Amino acid sequence: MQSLFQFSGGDSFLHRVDPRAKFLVVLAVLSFVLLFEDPVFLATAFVTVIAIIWVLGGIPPTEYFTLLLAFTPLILAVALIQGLTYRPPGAEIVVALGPAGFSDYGLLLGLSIGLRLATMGLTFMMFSMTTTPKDVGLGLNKVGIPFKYAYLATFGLRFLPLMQEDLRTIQNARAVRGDPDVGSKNLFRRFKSLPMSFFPLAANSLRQSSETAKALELRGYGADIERTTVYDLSLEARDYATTVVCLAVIGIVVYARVVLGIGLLTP
Amino acid sequence: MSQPTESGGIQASSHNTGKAAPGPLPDKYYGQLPDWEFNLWPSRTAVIMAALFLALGFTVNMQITERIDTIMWGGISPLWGLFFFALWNASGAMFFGLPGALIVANVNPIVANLTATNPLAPVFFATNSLYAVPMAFWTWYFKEEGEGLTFFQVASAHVLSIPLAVVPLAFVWIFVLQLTPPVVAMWFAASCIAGWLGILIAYPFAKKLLASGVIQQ
Repeated sequence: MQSLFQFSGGDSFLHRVDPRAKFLVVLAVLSFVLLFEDPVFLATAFVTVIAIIWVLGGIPPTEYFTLLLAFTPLILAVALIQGLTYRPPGAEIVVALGPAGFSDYGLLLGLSIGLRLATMGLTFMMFSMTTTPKDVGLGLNKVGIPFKYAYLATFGLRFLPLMQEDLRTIQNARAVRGDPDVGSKNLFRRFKSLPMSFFPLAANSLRQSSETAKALELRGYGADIERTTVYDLSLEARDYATTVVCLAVIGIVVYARVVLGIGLLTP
Repeated sequence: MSQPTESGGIQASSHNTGKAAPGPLPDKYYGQLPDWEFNLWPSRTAVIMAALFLALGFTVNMQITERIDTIMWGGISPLWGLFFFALWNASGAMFFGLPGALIVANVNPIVANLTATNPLAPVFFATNSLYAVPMAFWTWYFKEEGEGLTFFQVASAHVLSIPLAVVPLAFVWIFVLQLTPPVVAMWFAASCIAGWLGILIAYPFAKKLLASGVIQQ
């Protein structure tokens, strides 16, 4: 139960870019993968995002290899469902397993959609690996979300690993008291044991919440006055350049897909 | 009004003692939730923080279940997620009103997106909110001063709210995954059933939280 939210420390270009401009990178990639459906285009996008994270973020794929592996069942499931159920005129059955036949077009479309979702996931990971929780909160505040609520994102991202540790402690406590399900090698039994651990997790955390609330109020949380911060976000030349490039990419993608009709998958 | 018990818990108000079913859960007939003070729009910091901690519990839960969904069926529908999500969303909405509902509903999707735990994560904001917000309104509608909610009331609200939560997922199945209508219908039905079954753990969970006294502290 390791958290995949891992801010990967560094001083790369992606680490230095303002979270608002970085979010435009995410939107540019999303526009590309959502508008095109040719698997070649989507495979290119997937590889390009890996390259961006490596070259501009200084994070090699080995660091998030488990995430890349986690995309495999997704791509397989979507490809199989589409192959089995989607048969437009002109599509041919390329694999037949008894009464079930998989169409070539369905498999290709499924592969495209799987790659689309995998690229989307990877892009969001790029954002989280190169943005500190503090910057996430500050960024949300800068785009207009009141500090009272934007701070919750920072607070949540900071406290999440502690909550995961609490759950692990509760599970260990149950295991040493002889609960056979918690430490079972049977994954189903281990999964079944989880709900029983959620109640102490919730009760403990709710008990902490009133003290945390008092501590926050003593520090002026929820005060109506305008807040200032020691560390603030400000847009610099690289952020403007990133914004211009991303907007240009979005414009080109929309033009290529809508006006020129490029990137469609046809049977 | 509710009275604190020796163990710090909350006992049902005197005029509905006959209907209440305190004690270890789940009891035979699921009984009735003990009374609590409900406010549709509480603004105290304590309420916001309590909702946030509930949201974090939700996130920890979903980090596990959403990954299991991804491994089991590629995450096309978060069936295990839907089974478990009422545990936290229903409690947040019933105990902490609309702010609680919105906080619990929207913190998890932020983390789910940033950690790519599920391919459908971008629509979890809508999925969670479309469940939690109606649940808060249903609570406001059903809840009477000095009385808790019955299992029937909570289950009715839950059963009506679950299909709303599945609608955003259906949009993804249709427009992003481009699934055929029969496949969408199958996933829709499966998701609703998984979500509806969640009440069997969400209700005892909410009742136990109330009985422990941590809600009214």
